Amino acid sequence: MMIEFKKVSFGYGEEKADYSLIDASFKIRKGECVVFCGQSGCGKTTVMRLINGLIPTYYHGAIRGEVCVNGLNPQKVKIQEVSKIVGSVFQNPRSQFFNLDTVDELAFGCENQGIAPPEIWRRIEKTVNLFQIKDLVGRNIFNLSGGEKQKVACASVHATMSEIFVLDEPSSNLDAGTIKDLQKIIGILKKEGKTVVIAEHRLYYLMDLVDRFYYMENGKIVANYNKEELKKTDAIKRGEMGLRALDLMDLTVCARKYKSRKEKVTFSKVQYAYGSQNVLDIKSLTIPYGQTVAVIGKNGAGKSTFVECFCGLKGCKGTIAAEKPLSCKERIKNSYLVMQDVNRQLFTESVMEELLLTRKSADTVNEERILAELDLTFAKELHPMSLSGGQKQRVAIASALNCKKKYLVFDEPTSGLDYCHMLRMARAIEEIKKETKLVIIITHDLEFILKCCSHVLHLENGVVQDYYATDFEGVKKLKDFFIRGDEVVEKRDWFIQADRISG
Amino acid sequence: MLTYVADNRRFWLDPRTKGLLLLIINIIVFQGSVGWNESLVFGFMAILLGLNGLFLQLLGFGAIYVVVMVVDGVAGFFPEMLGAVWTVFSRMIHVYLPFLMMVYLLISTTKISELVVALESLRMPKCVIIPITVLFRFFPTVREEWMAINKAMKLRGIGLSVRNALTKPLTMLEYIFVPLLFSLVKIGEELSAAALTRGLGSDVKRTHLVEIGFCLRDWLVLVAATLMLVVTVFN
Repeated sequence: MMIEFKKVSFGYGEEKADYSLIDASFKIRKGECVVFCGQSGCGKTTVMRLINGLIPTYYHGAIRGEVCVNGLNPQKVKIQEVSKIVGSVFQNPRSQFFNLDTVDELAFGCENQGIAPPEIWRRIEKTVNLFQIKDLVGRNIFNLSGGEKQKVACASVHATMSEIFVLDEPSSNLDAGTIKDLQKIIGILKKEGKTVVIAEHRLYYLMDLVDRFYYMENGKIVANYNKEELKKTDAIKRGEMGLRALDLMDLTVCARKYKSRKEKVTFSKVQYAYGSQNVLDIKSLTIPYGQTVAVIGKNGAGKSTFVECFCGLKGCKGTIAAEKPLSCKERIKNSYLVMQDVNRQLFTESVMEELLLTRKSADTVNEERILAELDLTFAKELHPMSLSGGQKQRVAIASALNCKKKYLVFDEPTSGLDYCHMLRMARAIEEIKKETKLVIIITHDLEFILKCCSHVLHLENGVVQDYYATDFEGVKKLKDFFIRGDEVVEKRDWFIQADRISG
Repeated sequence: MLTYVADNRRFWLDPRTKGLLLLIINIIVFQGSVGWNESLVFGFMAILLGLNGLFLQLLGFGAIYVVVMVVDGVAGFFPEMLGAVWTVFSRMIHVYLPFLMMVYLLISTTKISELVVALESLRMPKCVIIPITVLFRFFPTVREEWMAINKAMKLRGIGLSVRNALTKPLTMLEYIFVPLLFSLVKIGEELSAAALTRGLGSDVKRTHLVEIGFCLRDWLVLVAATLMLVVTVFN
């Protein structure tokens, strides 16, 4: 038995009443691939931390029961001992690298174990060949895309010859194409006979790899399935369980109304370049008011550049016009970008203050209304940073609505969200539509697009590849992009270059 | 066989050399002005930046230097109050510029792994090495966060402008530092957790892939710096 939990309970901090994990018992054999799924906060991350020894070394609390990992009890031995057999990959690719250079990062675990340099080189070479990541060797971590970072993270664990891989929501920040890469890598690990434990609510990419799914609710393991059993469960029930679609192919568009209005935003000859490299080149594009537009495209397709130009954060060539051409300043004034890392845009001590930041007025009627619409009334006096990720996002939205922004832009609003939170976000977008002229969303989330977007803007290499409504034909195109997305990979070299320039 | 990519070793100096240089330059510039020592150190640093291929940065530092020199030249015609303020300001630039250049060189050309090895070879205890390297790891992160926060502020209409900086400096600082600190704390927490699962802090003696060592370049640079120091001190 590789991993065994016997009636394990754990509660963070001193309060013993509040357990995050309750009486968990399971066994994982060597070479198995197991997923723990469930809504955010269901305790799946706690299971990961118990296996890799971060509990109790880094996260303290009260523990009952017995954990056994390859004959060791991670609660009794030092985490450095555990680290020799268990390697971890975390959800945020930005914060799991200690070094700034990929080679050093690949070597880091081995160096800590005191392995001789020639052997480390040998291992790195083996891993690099196995994972086919030669193009990533010797690069600066800050110039890698999210997907590339996750590959390096997996590779650096592999180089330490860990037997067990613990992956905590590894696909959170990845786009459709790189999720495929992650899938391949997990496949490689499995073939090598490694034991892989994953906490995840996005399941479609794991369907053919996983031996057992454990479903958790409020800290308890309430069910476990193999692939066939899981497929037999009802799709609606899976939604209630917080699980994302098992197969992207099955998704359908939700009927929804939208009114394209006469007013519109037009882009003509909009260009933006890093050095001599054009990363955005839009000949002409018209987006009528009232639409909700999903911006899709591979990493490096120019999506961020597009929205930053639109918001006026980047000065671009050409014209972006509503009734009349809008200058950079006017665009900044009229638009708002809800960032992927929303922590960066909350500035004050309470949610109400956040809303009043730029609008000083005696009464707060409007503020109260907006907060109510976004389910935030309860948080009025709370510190924004004490809220959950989704709530913070809504605070940022509320502050944008409150300063009467016409255009609202989102950067990956659903990365890492489980099904329920994703739905809530989709509903919030419906609300926002009433208050704004135009909503633009960069996203890699097909389920989410089908829930709330009326149109899709497909960018590739900075050029508008396609622009279509999410009707029957449109959904077909979307699925083509998200499910077969491979064809677009060939321009890879180009974006790696662009990446270097921008870095 | 894999090896390190060679091109970032353009005018590679041992981290210990750079540390020593930082110390020497500090002593020289804080020794007090003898009229030409700061220019000498500035020139020396400019050459080092150039040898490391940091031309853009060199241009930036150079521009500041030239502007300050030019304004210094005409400062005699300023009204008394303004003249006094300028003198203080100009002194600060003179003193800090070479120092900042050295810090920049140290941060941008030293890999974290090299730094660890250098500190280990100086027999530093682990409880000193780990915080220093984490700090080092944070510089580029701070830069990344800073740029993102700047964008967010612009969108909220509280952008970092000269006017805002002069009229409400404290509020502006708050707007920058609240999100910055929260972001950094979060990244720091996740980073430490990740480092622990990678076995950092184990009792085993660490090995390392990078090799560091003094070579002719290091000696030349150090001798030059020491000469500058001697000349300044005995003047």
